[in-house]
This record gives sequence, C-alpha cells and structure tokens, in this order.
Amino acid sequence: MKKFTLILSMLLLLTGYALAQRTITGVVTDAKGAALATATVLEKGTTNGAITDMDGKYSITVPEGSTLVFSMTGFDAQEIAVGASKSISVSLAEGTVLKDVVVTALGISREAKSLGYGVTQVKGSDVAGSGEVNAVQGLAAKASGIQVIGSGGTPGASSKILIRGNSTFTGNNQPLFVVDGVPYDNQTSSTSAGDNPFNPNLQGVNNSNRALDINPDDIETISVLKGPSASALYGTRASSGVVLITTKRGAKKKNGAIAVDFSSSISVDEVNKLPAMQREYAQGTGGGAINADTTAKAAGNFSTFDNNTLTGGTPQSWGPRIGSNGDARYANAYNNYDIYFKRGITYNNNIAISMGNDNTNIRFSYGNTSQSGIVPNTNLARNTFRVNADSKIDKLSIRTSAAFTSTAGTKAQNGSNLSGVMLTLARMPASFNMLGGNGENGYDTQSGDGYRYQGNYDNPLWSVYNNPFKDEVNRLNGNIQLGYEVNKWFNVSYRLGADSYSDTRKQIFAIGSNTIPTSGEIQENALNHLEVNSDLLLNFKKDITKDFTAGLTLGNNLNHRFDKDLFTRGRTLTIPNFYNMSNATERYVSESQATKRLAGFFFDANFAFKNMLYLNVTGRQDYSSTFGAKRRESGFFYPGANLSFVFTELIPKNNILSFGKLRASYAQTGIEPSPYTTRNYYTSRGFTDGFTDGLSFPYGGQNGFGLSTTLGNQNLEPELVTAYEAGINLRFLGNRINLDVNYYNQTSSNLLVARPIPVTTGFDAQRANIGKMRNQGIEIELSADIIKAKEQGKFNWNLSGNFTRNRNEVLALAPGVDEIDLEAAFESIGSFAIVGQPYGVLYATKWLRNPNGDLIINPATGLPKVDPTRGKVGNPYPDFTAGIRNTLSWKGVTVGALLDIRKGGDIWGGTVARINRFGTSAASGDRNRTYIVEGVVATTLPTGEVTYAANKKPISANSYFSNYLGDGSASATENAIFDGSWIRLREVSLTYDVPAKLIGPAFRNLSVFATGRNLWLSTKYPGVDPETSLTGASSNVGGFDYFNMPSTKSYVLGLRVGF
Amino acid sequence: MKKISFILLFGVALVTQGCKSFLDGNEISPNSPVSATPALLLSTVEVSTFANFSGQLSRSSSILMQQSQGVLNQAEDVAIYTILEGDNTNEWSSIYTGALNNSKALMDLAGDKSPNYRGIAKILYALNLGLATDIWGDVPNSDALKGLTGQIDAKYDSQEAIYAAIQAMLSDAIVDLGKTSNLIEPGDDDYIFKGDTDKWIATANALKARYANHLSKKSNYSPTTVLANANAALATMTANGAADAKCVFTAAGNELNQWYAYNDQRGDYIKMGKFFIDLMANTNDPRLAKYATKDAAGGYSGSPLANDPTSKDRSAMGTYFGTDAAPIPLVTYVELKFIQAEAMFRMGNKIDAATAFNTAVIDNITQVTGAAPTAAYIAASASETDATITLEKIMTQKYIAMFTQPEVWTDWRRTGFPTLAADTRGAVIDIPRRFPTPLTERLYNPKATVISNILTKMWWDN
Repeated sequence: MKKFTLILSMLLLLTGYALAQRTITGVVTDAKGAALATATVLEKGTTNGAITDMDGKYSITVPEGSTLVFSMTGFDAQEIAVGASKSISVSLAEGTVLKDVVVTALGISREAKSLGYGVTQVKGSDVAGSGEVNAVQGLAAKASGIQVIGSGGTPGASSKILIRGNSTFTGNNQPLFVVDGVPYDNQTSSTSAGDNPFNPNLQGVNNSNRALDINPDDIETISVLKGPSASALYGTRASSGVVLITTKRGAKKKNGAIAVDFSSSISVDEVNKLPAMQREYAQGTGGGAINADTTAKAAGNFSTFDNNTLTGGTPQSWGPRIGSNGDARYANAYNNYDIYFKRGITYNNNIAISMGNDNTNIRFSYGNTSQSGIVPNTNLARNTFRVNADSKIDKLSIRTSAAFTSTAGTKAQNGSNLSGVMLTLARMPASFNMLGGNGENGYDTQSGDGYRYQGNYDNPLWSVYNNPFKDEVNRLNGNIQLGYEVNKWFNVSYRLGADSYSDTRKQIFAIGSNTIPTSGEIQENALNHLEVNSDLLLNFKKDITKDFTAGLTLGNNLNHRFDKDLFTRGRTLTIPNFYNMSNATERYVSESQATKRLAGFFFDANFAFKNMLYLNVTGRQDYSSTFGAKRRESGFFYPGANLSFVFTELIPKNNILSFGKLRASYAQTGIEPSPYTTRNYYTSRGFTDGFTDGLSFPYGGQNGFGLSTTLGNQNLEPELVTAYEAGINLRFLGNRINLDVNYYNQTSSNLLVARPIPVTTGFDAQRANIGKMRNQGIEIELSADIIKAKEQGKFNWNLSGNFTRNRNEVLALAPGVDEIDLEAAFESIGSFAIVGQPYGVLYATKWLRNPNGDLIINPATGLPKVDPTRGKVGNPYPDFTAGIRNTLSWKGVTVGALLDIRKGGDIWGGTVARINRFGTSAASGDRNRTYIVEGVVATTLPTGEVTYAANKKPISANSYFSNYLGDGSASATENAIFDGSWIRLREVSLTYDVPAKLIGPAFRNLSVFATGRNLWLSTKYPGVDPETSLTGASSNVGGFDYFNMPSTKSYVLGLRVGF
Repeated sequence: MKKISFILLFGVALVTQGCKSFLDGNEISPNSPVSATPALLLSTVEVSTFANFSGQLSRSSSILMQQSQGVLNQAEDVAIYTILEGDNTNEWSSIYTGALNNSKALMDLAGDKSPNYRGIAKILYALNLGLATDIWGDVPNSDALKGLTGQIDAKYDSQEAIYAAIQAMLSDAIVDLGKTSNLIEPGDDDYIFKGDTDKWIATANALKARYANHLSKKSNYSPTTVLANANAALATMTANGAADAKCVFTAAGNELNQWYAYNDQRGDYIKMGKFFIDLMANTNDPRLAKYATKDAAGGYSGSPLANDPTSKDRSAMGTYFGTDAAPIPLVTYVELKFIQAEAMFRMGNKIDAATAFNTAVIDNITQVTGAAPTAAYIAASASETDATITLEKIMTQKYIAMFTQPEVWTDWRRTGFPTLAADTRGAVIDIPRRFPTPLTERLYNPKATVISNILTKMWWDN
C-alpha cells in the first residue's frame, strides 16, 4: 500500500494550478480542398485530441499557447501553434503512409514518434478486407512480431495469436485483448467432463476463440502492443502483449444528415490441401505387395467386412488391386475426398448508421455472417449489434460503447476420436463407397446406423449428421467512460466496463456411434464468463517551459473475473434420435468455477523535450486474490521506462533522410498465479492407463475423494517478464520509404508452473516458481512508395513488408529438472520445455543411431531400432516469418497482394504416419516392390569393437510403410516430423472505388471488391495445410497434426456503399 | 498541513481496507474440498487398486506370458518386447498417487480411533506396493509419499527391504482388523468386502503367503512360513470363492471391467495367445469356452509369435473375464491352493502337494464353468499323486487358473514354468523380466535407481 500513498501524495502536491482554456474549431482538407474525415487533431505533447467529422470539421479545447498537430494516415502531419484565432483550418499534403498517431495503452492516442517501444497498427479495413470471419485470423502476416496459427478451415475454428513467442510455460501465452479500453475475453474453452482423464484439446471439435464475437467490420484500428514495454499499464495479463481494438464511432454530419454504410460479400471456400491418397489398392491385409524374401506377389486377403454389418473389417488398405477379382465390393475406386468435402459459402452483410452534431455523435451497426463449411453440416451464424455514442457537455464528456453478439454454429469432430472427420476419412479405403449403404441416405444402413468400412470407425458422413456439436454464445459487452476536465492541466476520467457471455454447447453421439460406448451420449455444457473492469485515471499535464512538457497519469484498476463451467452428460440412450437428458439412464455432472480479483495502482509519467526527446516512465503495484496470504497483502510492483530520440531534429532538414528516431525501453510485468493454487485439496480421482476411459467416481453408488496430485504452495511469487527493446525508425526521400527495425530481449523468470515431481512422492506436481526462459528477436517493417503520383487518381505503387524472427530458449528449470511436459499429449509424442532448447519442442521416440548418425538396423527384421530413451525431434516454432504486401492503384482501382512466408516450424504429421501404415497414403501405393531402409547393421567383434556395414535386407512395402514410415509397432515417432515451411498467397484483392461523378449525389461512395484468400500455397509438408493445429488456441502445444481438419482457400466478392 | 496528512491517512486506510475486502474471500477453491473422510479415501484406494490390477499391467503381463497376444499398435509393441520408459507412467502414477498415497492418508486419518479402516488401508498398500516391486524391482517405500512435507524426491529401497516392509505391514493390518473398538467402520465404501474384517484378515494372510512364496529362489525361502500363512487364510477362504478379493465392476461406463473397456475401445489390439489356446485345447480344458471367444472359423485359435495377417479372425477374450461387469481376481482361494501345492512340493510333501493341486484345479473349473469337470478331464489333468506331481504341472495349472493376474508373470520368472519360447521378432532376445524405470522417475527423481534393460533380473529372480 506504500506505493499508493506515494501516488496519492503526488496527486495532492499537484493541486492548485490553472490556465485559460480556449476552444478551437476548423476544417481539415486535403491539398485539393476535399474534406478529410477522421483526421486527428492532437494537442502537442498530450493526449488531448479530436477527430474530424465527415465534413472535415473538428473542435478542440486547448490551453493558450499550445500547438495543434494535424495528422491522418496517408498525409504528412502539420503542426500549427494556437494564436489569437479561434479557427484553424489546414490542408494536409498527401505524404507518408505512416500511422502518425497510434492508440496505446489505456486507449490513449500518442504521436508515433514519441513512443519508445514497438507498436504496429493495422487498419480495420485490412482485417475486414481479408474476408476472414475471425478477426484474429485476419491479422495473419499483417504485422511483424506476431504469429497467427489457425486450427483448420471449419466454421468457427480457433486461431491462436502469439506476440514475440511464448513467454510463459503453462500459463496463457496469448495477448490480452482490449476493445475500446476494456478487456475482452478471448478464451478458447474445450468441453471436458470432470472425469475425463485425457487432454480435451486432442479430441472433440475445433472450438472457437472468443474474439470471434467481434465483427471485423466494426473495427477502426487494431494496435498490437508487443511486449511488456508497451503494456505495463495493463498489468499482469499484458505480459504476452496486448491487442487493442478500437471500434468505429460516429461523427458530425452536414445538416444533421444520417450516414448509412452498407457492405455485403459472399465468399466461397474450398479445401486447399489434403494428404494424398492412393486409389489403386483395396481394403484388406497382406496383399498387393511383394514379400521380402520372394518375388511372388502375395494374394492378399480381402477384409471380412460385410456390407451393412457393423462389426469387423480391417482398417488397412493392404488388400489386392482394386478390380483385380470379380468381387463387386472391390470393383471400383472412389475419390472419398471429392465425395465428402463440399464448397463452403459465407454471406456477410453489414449496415451501419451514424449521425452527429457538435456535441453528440452516435453510430449503430448490425452485422450478419452466415457461413456453411467445407465439411457437411458445419456452419456458423453470427449476429452483431453495436452502439457507440459520444457526448460532450461543457467539461463533461461521456463515451459509451455497447455490443451484443450472438454466435451459434454446428461443428464436427476433429483429431483423435473415432467419429473424427479426417480420422475416418483419411483411413477410408479407396475401395469403399461411403454412400453405398442400404439405408435411406447411403451413408447409413437400413437400421439407421452408419455404413462403415470398419467396425470401430463411424462413417464420417453419418457422423456429421448424427453426432453434431452445436454451440451458441450470447455476449454482451460494453463500457461507459466519463471524462471531466477540472481545469487546463487536470482531468479525471473513469471507465467502467463489463464483458459477459454464456456459451451453451450440446454434443450428441447417436446410438451406434463409436466414440463412446455405442449406446449413445448427450453432453450439455454451459460456460459463463463475467468480467467487470474499473479504471480511474487522473491526468495531469503541464508545459514546464516552452520546450519542455510533462504529463502524469495516476490510475487505479479494479478487475473481477468469474468463470463457471457446468457439464452434464447422459449415457445409454433408449429412444433413438431423442436427445434430452431424460432419455439417458446413466447421468453425470461436473462443475467448476473460478473467481479472480485484482486491484492495481499505477502511474505513467511523460516528459517531452522539444520535438526530439521523449521519456516515459511507468510503474504499477498489483494486488491479486490468487496469492497466498503474505503476497496478497503486500502486492507486487513492476516498473518500466522508455525513451524516444528523434535525432533528425538535430540535423538540417533534407530530402534523403527525412525522419530518424532511436528508441529504447525497459519494462517488467508481473504475473499472478492461477486461482486456487496455494493450498492442497482433495479431488474426485479418476484412474486410467490411457487406453480406456478408466474408472471414476461416483462408483458403485459411492463417492470418492483422494488427495489431489498437485501440491499447492502458499509462497508463490509473481512470475516476472523483463524486457529490453531497442529500435530505429528511418524515413527516406520525403517519407516515401519507411524502415522500422526493432530488437528485443525478453526474459521470463520465476515461472509459475505445476512443477513435475516424481509420483513416488505421492504427487505428480507441485506449484512453484521455477526456471527462466528468453525470447529475443528482430522485427522489421519496411514500406516504400515505389511510384507515387503527384495528384490523385494517377498510378501508385506501394510495397511493404514485415519480417519477424524470434529465438526462444529455455534457460533453466528447477534444480534437477531438465524437462517439463507442457501438457499431456500422446503416448508417442509430447511438447516439452527442455533446458537449452526452444519452448515447446516436440519430444518423442527416436531411431537408434550410430556415432555417424546412421540408423542402426535390426538384421533380423531389416527395420531400424528404436532408441530406448526419448528425445527432441523437432521445433514447432518457425525460424522466421514474413509478409510482403504489394498495393497498386490507379483511378480508383486498387490491386493488392499479400504474400505470407514461414521458414521452419516442424510439424508432427501423425496423419501421414498413420495412413502410411494403413496403406491409404499415395506414397504407400508404390508397393509392387521391396524396400531397403538406409542404415547400418552393427556387428560386435570379439575385441568388443563395433563395426557397421550398410543394411542390404529388403523388406516388403507393407513393413516399410508400417514400421518405418508409419506408426506401426516398433516405429519411432521421429519418422513423422516434417518441415512446416510455406510460402502462400495469403490474400489477393481487387477493389474498384466508383468515381463520385459516376454514382451521383445519392451515394457518398460505392466500391466493389474481389478477394482471393490462400489461392496459392507452396509447402513440402505432406499433410493438410501446414497452418494447422490439433490443439487449437486453448493449448500451449503446437505443431501437432493428427487427423486435423483441412484448411480452405476462398473467393470473396463484395460491395460497399455509403449513402 | 495537518489536515492534509489526516485526509491522506484516512484515504490510505480506506483504500487499503477496501482493497483487502475486495480481494479476500476468493482464496479457497469452490471446486474441491480441503478434507475427506475415511470412507471417501477407502473407495478411492479400492478403485485405484482395481485400475492397477485390471489395466495395462494386467494386459502386458498376459501378453508377455503368451496368454494373450498383442497384434496391433501399442499392444503389439508389448508382444515384441518394445517396452519403453514412457509406456507405463500412467500405471506407475496410479499406484503411487492413487493407491499408495491415499492408503497412507487413510491410515493417518483413521489412526487408532478406527483401526479397521487402518488395517484395510495397510493391506491395500501392501498389495499395490507388491505389484510395483514385482514389476519394477527396487522402488521407493520408506522414503516415499512425503510430498505433503515438502520433500519432492524419494529414495529407492532394495526389493529385499520392500518385501520385509510388506510382511510387516500385513502383520500390523491383521492386528488392526482384530480390534473391535472403532469410531467409524467401513461399509458400502468397501467395495471388496463391505467391511467384513474376517475376509480382510484372510486376505492379509493370503498375501503374506503369496509374498513369502515369491522368495522361492532365495536361500531363506521358508515353505513352512508360506504354509502357515496359507492355512490361516484358508480358514476363511472357501472353495466357492466367497471370500476372494476381487475387483468390482458394473456395466456403467465409468465402472467397467477394464479388459472389457479395452477390447471395446481398442478392438482387435489384443487376441488370445496361441500358446495358451493350444495348451487348453490340447487338454480339452473346459475353461477354454469361458476364457476365449470362438474364432472366425468357429473354433479356437490364438495368435502366434509372428506377424499374423489374419489376427482379427482369432479368438478374443471370452466372457468369464471379458464382460462389462466381470470381476477380475486380486487374491483368491484357488491361488492359495496352488501356493499350498507349490510349498508342499518344495518341502518334499508330494502327497499333500498333489491333493492341493487336484483340489485347486477342480475348484477353479467349477468356479469358472459353473460345473465340476468331467471325469475324463479329472482323470487326465486333476488326479495327480505323489508319484506324478511335478512343479511344472503345478505352475502350468496355476498359469491357466490365474489368467489376467500379473502374478502369472512373477510365477514364470520364479519357476520358468510353463516353458515359453521368446518371440524372435523381439526388441530384446528373451522374455522381459521387468519393466524399465518409468520416464518420470528418470526425469524428476534425482534419487531414482534407473534400470532400462528389461532383461535385468530383480532381487528375488536371482
């Protein structure tokens, strides 16, 4: 509390100054006199600002003697000192494409040049223009320092975003989302029963990250604050960066007119990449291959699979050649992908109405997105309503934002489960006609069960219609912000925001589905989230001398978060197709909830010297409910400072180097523990060996509780992220070329983890602060106006690019602990933190190698031997990523292309390994031959010396693809690690802004556009699109592909019109 | 200035107090209790024991002993001796964090006030510790389970010390269970015996016999001790199996027999072993139809120690052990009769050995098939005399009777019977004699004795 005393006394000391205020009005136009709407007018060296309305008009109250800074994207900024006149109108010359004013922490607009740390601002139209339904996915490749990882092309599938890599081991590595100044929940929650012994991220559906509830069309700008430097003021959750979203607001209209903006688009989605299949050999075993020791071709066995019976059948496609005998069931080859996947269609419609006068403006918008997926019976419907209103009466300003979103959809099973779409489809033999059943729909039998090729796998068509997952999210969020200008140098603002949603989900497994015991299952899951956030800001500013300005913000933040998860399951259904809990004879309920509270006190001091030197010092003291008693009482403090030096102020103005700035920053963020980790509890235990769902309570009508396997810890300390950052921003040739380079070095220490301990202690983990991890990297953004027209309408060519390289290294774990399993994964592979390695390396079984690195072959089998101990097999994070954007415009026609490059980033291609083994992969189609695994055979001489000779033992194709390239018995998972590099045409777009003279006075503007997304992809990865994630955004595990949903390429056509 | 200081102090006090009351009251989880009762702990320990004895350890032992054959995926890995350090961490964890840690908690909670609970906890502790040591050799015990005190490693005890500890704990349990003054007594929370202390005492005696008998390769092996313990148990344990300790399962999804659950979810991973099927078929063993299903051809066939393209047509596990609610035995009358037979045989008392053997075979068949064996079967396989009885016969019939129980693997390692050929495809050249030290121990326990070679024999195996 000491810190607060300090803050309070500072506040009191500053009382008692006053200076005359005056209101300035005017019009901002371009060089030709056309009004510029949404231009920024800023009182220099402060956060006091205004935005011009549709007619370019503005009004701002400033102290006498201050200077106004006029700026707008695409124009050169101008500074004008306030003199006697109450009216200042300026015309801005078209100039740099730089974003001169950026939105920073707490929603404060700052001049870009005053910032001592890296911020990238992305225009809302660039996000909406991608046609992505999910705003997070729309950010892909558009800013340096960020990595966006989609989880699949089905409607609502989550997208994960990482800023400057992973900064914590097992906590949340994704940035804090803030919409209009208030935290916005972006969780991705998996549905999981309390008795589920497995990691729910490995199976189930691709759940949505909740930033999906934001309508991209409502977004004005997105500022990405990239490290603790940029985000010290947001407190503990900002340690992984902040994504600040500012929504569009109303503006004053001529004669009180109402402006209406309407946009409409249609998008067609197609599957962009699938693992290649062979279509030559039928379901069966032992056939189609030349055996190892003979040249005779084995006859092979057809599966005993029988039409429309539901048991038996082999999952393998090692049968005879299709059509090679008279059996009608194996006469034809089917292209199962073509039969299965369809074109997805997305309709997106938005209407916005805005109006305003001198004191009040309001914008109302409604957006509707209706999407059907590439997988049959998957869809998404989103309706968003938003009202933003601002009003200013004398010294009091009120700013409110409110949004209601309803997002509902139907999702399909993904990943490791027997109803999974890709699991059952990619394993499907080419000889199987998935529509060949004798039931009504073809994918079923007369009894209504799924028509299957193997008893254990659901027919993927039957499955999507009979095992749907439906979710519906209703979300209300908003805030009210009151500002009061006490006097010229002091204003108070208070903001109260709330974000609340209910997420109700229903998963049905029809009677006869294989995912669960075949008696059918209903799961109901209700998730509730509530966050209330209160910010009180006291802002002081003062020009100490003509050249030296000082500002101080003192603030208090109170935050309350509540999450509740109620899960209900009913099993053993009696009446088919009746999905109410009353139909279940076996029911189970589990519940969990968590409350977190945080109180923070902070300051942010700014000092500006001339237009040259800017210093910003911040500090924050946090108190969190999740600590043990001692730390809860004492709280924790973390500081930050950054400096910006515009060195071109020291050299004569010239046209070569028009602007140059050096910046440096240091900042720390503390992170509080998860709730309820400070003490020991008893839990309802479940026991499984990993092969079955195991045994759990209530059992035999009795309940059971045992000691939780994780030990609590009263003495947990905050996790600390300490970041250093230095950068340079250079603009050449009259700002035509803009280069921004940033280097950062960020160390996380005292990481909060459930530290693994040997189970022989009776517990498998202990809550602790351990270890150290470092991220360091370089971010480069370059933009060049290669051809820049002197006047509007002529040919323009802009080339811009971003480059990100992040190097992560785990520097230390606990004494004696060299490896930590980040999250329970598969028996064959996991994702680990290992000292000396990057975070999240893939950890699995490897081949045994001799000192030369050759595989050691077992001479008896001709197959390589497996190393008895596991090790690192890959790193899922890329060496670098880059985005290159080309924009050409001429007379209202704009052509843009965004190239997305990722180098490195390993993927565990579990799908590929499995379909090699099952003989459905295209590679395994080459089976009319034997194979020799490249490696050596070891011989131990009587002297004890070991010699190695090249392996010459031929093995059958079946063995080669099962045990060497597949995941068959005695194979090493190492064989399925692939390079996930790519180059893709992320977006290509053509926009035509119809000239004003053609559209007539009824319209303000009219444009039509066409966008193609992911139209071209170059990668060596043999599975689906390597931008994939089995575990989605809810997990810290990356780089797993085990029957993941494919991604999409899209064709978007749309129009925007303004009245 | 005074006024300002006062306001300041007042303000600080208000904020401090407000901050505290804003934060407080959210520190205890609404999701989990901070205490439990003996009944809750006992049910947890028993269910964990069921998982340990009917899950992967049971299946692996059965595959290694060729009663079953792993023909697909991870089950095939076991069959070809690709048993790696990461493969059995779940079972290892379930034994220590499930059964042992909670039985220890139960012993502490029950204390002197409820000695019957404490006695049962000791028996279940001994049973699970015995499972661990017979699979992994030296394991932690005296220094184990100290996490609550903040100790996060555990010294390994020699197997010899573990065996001594097991015997001591079982003796203590018998004393505890003999006490009649109990604050609370076990009831329905005791799935195995519903609180019947006589049956628990018999189980303790039976286990003392079992673990004493495991030392048959050691110089201090005492058949007299084995027999004394077995006889004490047989006073309560009867031929109908009413006092047998068994895993209790039901048809509910979370209470399933784990062999059934496995075969249901992982169909065709495991088939019956050729050796086992042939052994029973060749002797017209009436248990065959209960132990195995018919193969695709309508007969009985097991999968051989070779690649088996038609494995899915082979016999799978039958109804006796393989249905959803079928109990899996833990400690039984039949086992004791075989222990008696073996101990008597080793003492040189072949007459009684033969009698015990014949009784064991006939009673087991009666239990499994619901009918006494035919005269022909008895004549051929259950009418041994002092002249005909051999250790091989005893161990082979015990092998059949104890299907699913990890004891079979221990017995084979001690006696070499039945004679099994190693799979030539194996990753190691012989049938494994242990599991490798679990991955989590290698990674996280600096005091672990790490053994990766699965052919290394443990203390009682030398």
